[in-house]
Amino acid sequence: MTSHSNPISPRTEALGSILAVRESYQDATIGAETWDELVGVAWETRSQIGDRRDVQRVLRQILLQASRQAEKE
Amino acid sequence: MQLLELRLVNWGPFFGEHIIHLNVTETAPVIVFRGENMRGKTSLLRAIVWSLYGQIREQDGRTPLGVDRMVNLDAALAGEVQFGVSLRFSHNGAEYLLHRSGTAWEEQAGKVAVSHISTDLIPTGGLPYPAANIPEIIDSILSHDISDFFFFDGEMLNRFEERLRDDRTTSQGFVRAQVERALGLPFMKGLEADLDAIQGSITANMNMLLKKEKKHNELTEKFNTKTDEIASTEKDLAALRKHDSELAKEIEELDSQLSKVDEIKDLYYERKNLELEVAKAEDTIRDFRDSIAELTEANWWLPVANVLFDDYEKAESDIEVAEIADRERFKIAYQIDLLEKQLGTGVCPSCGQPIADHNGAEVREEISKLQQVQAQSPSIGLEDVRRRRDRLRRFNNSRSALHRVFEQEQDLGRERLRNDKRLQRIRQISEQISGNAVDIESLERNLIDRKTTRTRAAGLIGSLESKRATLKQEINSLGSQIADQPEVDPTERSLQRSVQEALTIVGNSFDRFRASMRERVSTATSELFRRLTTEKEYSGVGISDDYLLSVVDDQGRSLSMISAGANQILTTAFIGALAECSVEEAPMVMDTPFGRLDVGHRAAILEWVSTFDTQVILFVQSGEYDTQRDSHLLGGKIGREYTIERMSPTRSEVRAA
Repeated sequence: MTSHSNPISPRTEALGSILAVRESYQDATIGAETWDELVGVAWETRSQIGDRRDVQRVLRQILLQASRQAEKE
Repeated sequence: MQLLELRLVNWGPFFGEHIIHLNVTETAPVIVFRGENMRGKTSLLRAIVWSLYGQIREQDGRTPLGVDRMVNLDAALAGEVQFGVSLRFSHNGAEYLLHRSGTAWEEQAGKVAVSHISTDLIPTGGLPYPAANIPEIIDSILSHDISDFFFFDGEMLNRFEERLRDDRTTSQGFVRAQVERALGLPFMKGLEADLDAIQGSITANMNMLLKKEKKHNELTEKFNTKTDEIASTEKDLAALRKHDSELAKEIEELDSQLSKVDEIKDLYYERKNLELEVAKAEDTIRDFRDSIAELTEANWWLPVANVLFDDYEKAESDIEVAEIADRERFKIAYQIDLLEKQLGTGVCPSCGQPIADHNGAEVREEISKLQQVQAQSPSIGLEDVRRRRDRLRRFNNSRSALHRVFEQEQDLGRERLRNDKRLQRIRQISEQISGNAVDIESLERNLIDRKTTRTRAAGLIGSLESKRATLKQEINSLGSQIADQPEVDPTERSLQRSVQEALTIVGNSFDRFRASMRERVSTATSELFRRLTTEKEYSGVGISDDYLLSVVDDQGRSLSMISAGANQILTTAFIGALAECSVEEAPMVMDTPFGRLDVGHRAAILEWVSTFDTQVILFVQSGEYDTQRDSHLLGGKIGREYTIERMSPTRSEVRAA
């Protein structure tokens, strides 16, 4: 396709939607960079069906770091 | 994904081994296969689809087609043979060889049986993947669910078109699921499910800790009860969803069977109309026969009409000749009379001058000559000829009467021929209908029954989902209370709160994400539709929440009726837009896609195809694509061109053009 490069990919679109909702979330602690990482992991592993415990471990790790960062701040 | 090479062995009309190179460059990514009907274009498309998914469908796009129907008959007749397809393709920089094959033999006359179907997927330079993993790997490269957006033929386009214009619940569900899968929407649901699992695990660990410490028993008991309850609800929900999906499949199947019955109904009404036409035509035939009989009775002489007309014409011409001869004889008699008078009186009777004596001999000689001419001139009885002509006068229109009879006989012959064709079609339809033992009423009853059950199941699913949501809220609240206990590790507590925050935000973002993706595909469809349509009053396309399509005019009104050609352009625009917005990158393979399109629309699609930089494979027949006329529309983007030649009814060959 001419524009198959997908100038706005579903990943970017999903991140945009999350950040827009986050704006109205009271006391949001998770930053945009963390969201980018979380969405990135979910996007890259979207075809992995069945056992996703390894993916969940990665997501948990990202959130753990984010919560530690939030505590420090 | 790009297809690099297709190898066929005893597949469809392709006897023996055939290797077709498909690799192309970005600057010339279009491959054109030209071949008339029944040459094997659809067999090539099916070869690609079967190699990837191990399943193919009939031309109606619904009914599964057994692979035994794709085995070359000549090969099967020769005894037990190997058949199959190998597809070499590249994806994300790696190359793969996918090979699917089996053994075939002629079980009974004209019926082929197959066995030992095996599949191998080998990455170049690597080891073959385990057979059990191949479907999942192929699905991750190009999901079977959305492959219809990339590999399609005219019939499938029709089927998809029906679904896009059909507001039945099953169609909506099918389209929405397929489209959302193509747009990558499920990945966000996947993230939500992962976060939910993480949250459950963190809270369960905290609960376990409190239980070990034998503190906050009431809280932990409550948490356990609620988690048990939600587990059981989820189990019920999963069972109901499974049931719902089975019902959806059954409804789909019943719909498909009923659509075939629709065809039978159509055939029935076609036969009914033909029978009426036959009855009418028989009246016309009778009228012609009567009229011919009347004409022949009134004009009993018609068999000799030509002779009579010739006689009449001859009488007319005889009269003419007789009249001339009569006039001639009169003139001679008059001259003789004059000359005799000269001799008798010696004076010219005309001028009264005296005639010299020496002239007497000359006058006598002149009289003698004239008498000879008079004796030689034919003596035709003018009155006889006139009487003969008058007797024949009634036949002076015999030629036109004959012509009238001849024309009516021709009309009668044509009408008979048309009627024979009608009767032949009636016999064909009767055979088709008699071979079909579908009980329409029972099918319709079953369909209503399944739909009612599904509606009930949907109600139950809805109430279980709301119960689950309430339980989830209660568990979350209990989880927060558990996390607040002093025994809980502060890091875990903080993590639980972060996961909860992530879960809530992701859950609340899905609708916005879905809407924005739908907006993208809607804009892309409208743009492409405007580009492809030749009708200037169409301003774009409206897409409902369930992806039902409608054409919008320049006043912003949705048009309920558009032509079949415009419908095909609408569907093509939607499929093209989806492929453009899709998360998957794959070749676009189109089999006879221009069936119902006029020259303008065909040109617009070819010009659109010329803007592609990814692989496009077109299977076309001469009626829809002409190299001389159309190749310039592809703007030099043709990378490869093949013709499919028919060697015999069971053998074709692909040749580089």
